[in-house]
Amino acid sequence: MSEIKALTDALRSGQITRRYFVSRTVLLGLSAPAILALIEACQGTGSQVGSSKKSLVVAVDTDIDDLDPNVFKSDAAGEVITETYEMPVDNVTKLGPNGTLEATTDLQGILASSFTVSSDGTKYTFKVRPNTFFSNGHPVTAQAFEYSYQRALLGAGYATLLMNLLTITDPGQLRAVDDSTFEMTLGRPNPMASKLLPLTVLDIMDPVVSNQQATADDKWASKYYSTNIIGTGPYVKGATWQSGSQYLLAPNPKYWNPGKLQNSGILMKYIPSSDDRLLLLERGDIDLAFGLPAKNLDQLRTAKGVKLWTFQSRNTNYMVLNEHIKPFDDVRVRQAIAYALPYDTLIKNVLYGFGKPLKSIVAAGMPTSDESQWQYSTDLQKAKSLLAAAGLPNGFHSSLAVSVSRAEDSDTAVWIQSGLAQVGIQIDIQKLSDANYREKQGNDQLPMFIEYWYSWVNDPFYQMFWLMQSKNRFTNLAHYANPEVDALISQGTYNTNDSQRADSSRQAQQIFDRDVPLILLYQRDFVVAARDNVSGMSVYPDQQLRVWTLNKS
Amino acid sequence: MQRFIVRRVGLSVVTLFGVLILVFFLTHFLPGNPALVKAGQYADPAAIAAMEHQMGLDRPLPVQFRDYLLGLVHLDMGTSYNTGQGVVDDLRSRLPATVELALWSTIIAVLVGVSCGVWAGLRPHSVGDSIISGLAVFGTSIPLFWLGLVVLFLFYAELKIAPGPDGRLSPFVPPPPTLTGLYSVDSLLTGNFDTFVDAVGHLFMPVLTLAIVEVAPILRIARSATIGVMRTDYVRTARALGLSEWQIIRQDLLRNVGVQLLTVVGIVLGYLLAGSVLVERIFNWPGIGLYAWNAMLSNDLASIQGFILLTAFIYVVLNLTIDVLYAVVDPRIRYA
Repeated sequence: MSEIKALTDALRSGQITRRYFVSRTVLLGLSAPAILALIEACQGTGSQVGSSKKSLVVAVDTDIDDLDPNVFKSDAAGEVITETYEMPVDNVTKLGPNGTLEATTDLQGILASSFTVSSDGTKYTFKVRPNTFFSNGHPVTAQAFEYSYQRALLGAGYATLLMNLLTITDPGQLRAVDDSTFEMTLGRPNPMASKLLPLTVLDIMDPVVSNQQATADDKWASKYYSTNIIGTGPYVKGATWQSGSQYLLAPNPKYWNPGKLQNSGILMKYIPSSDDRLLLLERGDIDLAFGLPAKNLDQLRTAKGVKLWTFQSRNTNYMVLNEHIKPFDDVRVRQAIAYALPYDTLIKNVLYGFGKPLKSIVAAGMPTSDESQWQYSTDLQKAKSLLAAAGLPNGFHSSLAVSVSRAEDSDTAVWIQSGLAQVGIQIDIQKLSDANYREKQGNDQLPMFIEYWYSWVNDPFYQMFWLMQSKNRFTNLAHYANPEVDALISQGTYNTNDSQRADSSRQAQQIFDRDVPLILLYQRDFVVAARDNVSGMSVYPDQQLRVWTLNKS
Repeated sequence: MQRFIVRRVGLSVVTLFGVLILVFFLTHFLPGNPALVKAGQYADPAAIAAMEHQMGLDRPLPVQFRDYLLGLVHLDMGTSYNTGQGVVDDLRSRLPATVELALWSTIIAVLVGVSCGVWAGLRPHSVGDSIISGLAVFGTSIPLFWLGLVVLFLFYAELKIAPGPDGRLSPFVPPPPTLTGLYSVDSLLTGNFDTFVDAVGHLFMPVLTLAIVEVAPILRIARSATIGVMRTDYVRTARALGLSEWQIIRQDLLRNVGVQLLTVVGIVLGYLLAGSVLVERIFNWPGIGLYAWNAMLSNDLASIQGFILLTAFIYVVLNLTIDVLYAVVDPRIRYA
């Protein structure tokens, strides 16, 4: 049975010919009428046979860890969830250069056919799009909206934190008025709401299946959703779904907007070695590669048949100096380090030109980002005098930790080591396993370490909330605690006056520049490497590619 | 014979239990808290505590060990943090890929190693023997990861005769119906010739890499055993009785060489089945080696334990089989 399903899926998505289908099904012992019926069924469900849409092979650098939209962490899982589930609303898109689909800040209805916001900005009313169905055939209703948002709020995943940022803390704020109307009441007017609502973690899930799969120990059916997908998105799990190897996203035959798909399926291959992804792309055995390090991207600049799609990103790469460990509690030492680092060398020798120095905690590309305050460029004399002023004229000895799974950080560490040595600061580089790295980080045992951050939400206060707010111990890794900054973040986060919000943001950036709780390193570009016959890239705030836009000539 | 087998099985069970204790406690003393990795960047102390509870890490170690043993009785090795699936399911779905590599590379290594070793042993210190012995030294000393990269570069990037390092089958080639789990075998058994060709193509580079490394010890043992056997009294007697060289090789040499070869083939096969971690990593071969690699990077305790236990089980079963085969090949063994 599974082979027949694989064959029908492959025929439906145009991966095999009708002749091959017939020859294989005959071997499997199917009768002629049964084979004809299957072919007819394939053609009747949005068949791509004979169309110009093709399937693409995409290599990913991470494996799927969990398919629950509220829980996933790996990029590959995020990609699959983005393609198979949908939210009530999403960003409006416009066509940019080279046909790239670019998300704007406006919202459009997806599973909601329309939505309204009350004049005070607290009540969102969504009308459910009629005739939309989950992949199992169940209709999408307002009850599904209510269930999904309540699951995000009360379930096990990190979606709770995002719901709280939305100012939703009580399930009573989420209510299905009738089968087709859903109301969400925010705790207060929230300028970030329109940026949080399109997040993939707030996807709509099927309450009927969830209730069937829930148990006393697993109220939200997390175990079921960790490996199963019942979504409304343009793709469904295809017949080829081999854990640790490859995952086929096949067109969803029940999708409400089939015209949007620009290909007939995506095969995601898990290829952990970046050198192998590079080789396969150069040879044309894959169409697109995710997660290539800058060194590999540099090799592809002149490669025949390969095109690099480079987009400025808000990637925030930084070095943490633990203020709980001496001498990093002294602001002059932190400033000295900021002056001693070889920023241009990092861009040239680590990023191979795919990025720029990071000059504000609110990365360039975010509203209100202000790089004009940043005073730190490489200046060894200033670094030495600051160290002398801090009572460390001969420097000191410390260690810099990096996670072994991030090769780029190891390269960065070597250049940092060499830069700091010039002002007398001797550091040992510690390469730690992910678990060891996280544990030592959490236990305050690492004096210096390299980290990165990417804000799914393009908002300065979202970024500063996680990186600078004193209460966020596990994301504010420097343990920076400045009541003035905390107050500015609180004022700005929910301030609906744009001008006042911008003022608060600039003030917080200014204080950051003075205190340097983190040493800002660089903003790595978002680069997608693809064969030159692949087009239809997309840029969304969450930096996840929408693979339904991809097509191959 | 029966008593011999019962004693060996008993010893194997004790060995496995020892491994089980060692693995469980050693993996728990690895540095790093896996709950922190699983909980992710946003996690606050409450979320980490909840994750530790969900993963059972908040219970006393002896309780965790007891639960682990109870789980093992029901073939439950816990859930992988990396894949979100049961470790037994993960290993079951990946083991055939590793077995397929190990089996084909061992078959090729035995065929090449025994033929060349015996041939060289029959002509000790000749030019041919020197060349073969030199190649064996090369095969023994060559680092596996380097060889894998050279093979990949040569046959895929330069000569372009092998399919890419993208797993067991090319994109959109459907896997054959599962009979043994070995694609090369299942595709043949189900008459799926296109898949067979594709599967064999994908096996070419990793199997070649493993076979080159594996052939060296087999060749050396075969050579030295041949030299030893050919100098024995019974071979001299056989020659005196007028037996042909081929009869001597077939009746006396191969059987005596076989006993020594069994040991080395068993060790090599066990090593390969244990997951040729490096080769699977280089060729993106979705076997248990690649699974272990990923598990070790993230302290995926349940997966690491499962992998080591499976490896130990395979070793023990192989050794047991070899012990029994000794007794079959050489009747003197059982009285030893």
